[in-house]
Amino acid sequence: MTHDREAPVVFVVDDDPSVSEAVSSLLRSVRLDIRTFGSANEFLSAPRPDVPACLVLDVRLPGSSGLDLQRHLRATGVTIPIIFLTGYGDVPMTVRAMKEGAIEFLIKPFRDQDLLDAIQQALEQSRAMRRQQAELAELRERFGSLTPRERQVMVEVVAGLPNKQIGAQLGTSEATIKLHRGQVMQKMRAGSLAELVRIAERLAISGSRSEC
Amino acid sequence: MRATQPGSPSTWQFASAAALVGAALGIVLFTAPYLPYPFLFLFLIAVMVAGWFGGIGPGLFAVLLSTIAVDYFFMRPTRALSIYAEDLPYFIAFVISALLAGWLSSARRTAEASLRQARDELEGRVASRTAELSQSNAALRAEIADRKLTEDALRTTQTELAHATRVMTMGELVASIAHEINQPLTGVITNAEACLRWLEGESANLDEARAAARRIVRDGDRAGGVIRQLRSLLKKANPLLVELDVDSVIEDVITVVQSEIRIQSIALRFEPAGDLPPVTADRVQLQQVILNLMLNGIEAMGTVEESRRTLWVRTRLFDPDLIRVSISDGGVGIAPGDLERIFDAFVTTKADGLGMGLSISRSIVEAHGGHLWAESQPGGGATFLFTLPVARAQAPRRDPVGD
Repeated sequence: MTHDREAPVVFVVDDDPSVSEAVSSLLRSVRLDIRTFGSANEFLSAPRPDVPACLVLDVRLPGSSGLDLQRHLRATGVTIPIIFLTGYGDVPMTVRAMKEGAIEFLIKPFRDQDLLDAIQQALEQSRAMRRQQAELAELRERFGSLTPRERQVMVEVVAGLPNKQIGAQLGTSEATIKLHRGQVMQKMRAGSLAELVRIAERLAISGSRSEC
Repeated sequence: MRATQPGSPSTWQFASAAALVGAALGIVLFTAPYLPYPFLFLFLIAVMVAGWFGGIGPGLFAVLLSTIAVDYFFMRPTRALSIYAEDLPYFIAFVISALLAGWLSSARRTAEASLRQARDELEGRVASRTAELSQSNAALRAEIADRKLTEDALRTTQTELAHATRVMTMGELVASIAHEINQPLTGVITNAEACLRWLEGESANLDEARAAARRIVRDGDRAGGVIRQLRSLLKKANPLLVELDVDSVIEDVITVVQSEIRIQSIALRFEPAGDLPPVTADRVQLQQVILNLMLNGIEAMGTVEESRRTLWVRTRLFDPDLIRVSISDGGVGIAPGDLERIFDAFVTTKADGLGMGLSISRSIVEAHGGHLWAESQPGGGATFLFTLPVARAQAPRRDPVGD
């Protein structure tokens, strides 16, 4: 897919140059695009390119902590996979970070391969999320291209109603419904009824309206 | 007691009254032949006694019996209850006398009885009040004992708390030191790994590898610096306590900082008190404290004009048991809010300070039984003062680092 070929970006947020410069050098040595920041605010105010990305975040930061930044990102709907770096990995902190969806919690000093593996995993997750979002956007676009009548027909079809009944319900003939149905299948690029139902599920369209 | 109470005469008391009257009658009849007049006063005595012991009832009963006996045996005609008219006044006088005697006697008796009762009640009340008092006294004593126990428990808890606080502070200290060393260590390892990767393969990047190697050296130096500072401040594990002359210790330190003072064009004014009594201290630890305070002062004057660069070191006998050392500089001074804070571990006002010097200095001085504090001069500059107790002959000493 097209998104896989986009160059990913790794954001590093760590106030200590000893760590951030070393991490930066390590990631550049494996040809990763990297941006470093000294604080959470610096990271938040910087523009983020629309490419697969992940965040390498120090728990201990000046101002708001790494965990605060994680919470803030979640609250504002930013879905970027996070790898935490910490000097002292106490259990409650680790649990909290992992519960909030962190990919990995690395205790300094860490092995380069552990960090690189975690970054690969994080970027993979970022790609998958982006893929899903792109697919969903594509499906929404297709659904948007349907006429209001076609949408009505699609809702009834995925609810499992036969053409005849849909025709009766919408006050038109079975033949007309058949025509609409063909249009829906073509516009939604669904090869079968089963595929159309799956698409409807992803778009959160249900046929409940006709059932009640 | 109960039997003599007024208002409740018993049969026994009536019988006694009759017996008394009988006895009086017997005596009077027996003595009548030898006396010119019958000795009737005995009946009055019987009535009085009956009234005294039996109260008004038995008293009147005795009066009645006496009246009958006198009328029967002694009033003419004798041996008959009738009486001649001319003897009537005499007889009536006797009856009235008997009645009066009986009434007075019993009334007196009643008054005395109620008086005694009142006294008894008072005694009872005093006794019960005394009992109450001694009871509350005992309760008070128990409460005092209780409070003493509580105080003891409190003191134990406080000691434990103080210990826990100290242990916690040590824990925080260790955590901070660990962090200070762990950061550059992480840099060293990750830079080394990056360096190896830059050297690998056909597209090896020597410039990047070199940069990584230089960062390794820099981070290694940084970690080493942390350890060097710690070691210089915590040099000796076991203190050697000897009697020392503070002035001579200061002179030792001055020889160490002499070149530093010269390079920074600082004027050093040492004003020893002279003939100070000795203190019991570890020489190296005391030198470290004085050295640290002098270096702080020198550093504080690094940016001020040359005319203000004077470092004063003064010693004096503060009171007979306490020696005070003060080290003053003409430097930038200390903000009032920082005067206490600077003694906390890892608090520093210097750009490259570790924030350990004053914290360790204070713990050394306190372990020697003294105090270390800072004062800021109004016109700039700061003074660090510490006290040390004068050595007492044979006095047992606490181990300054032992606890």
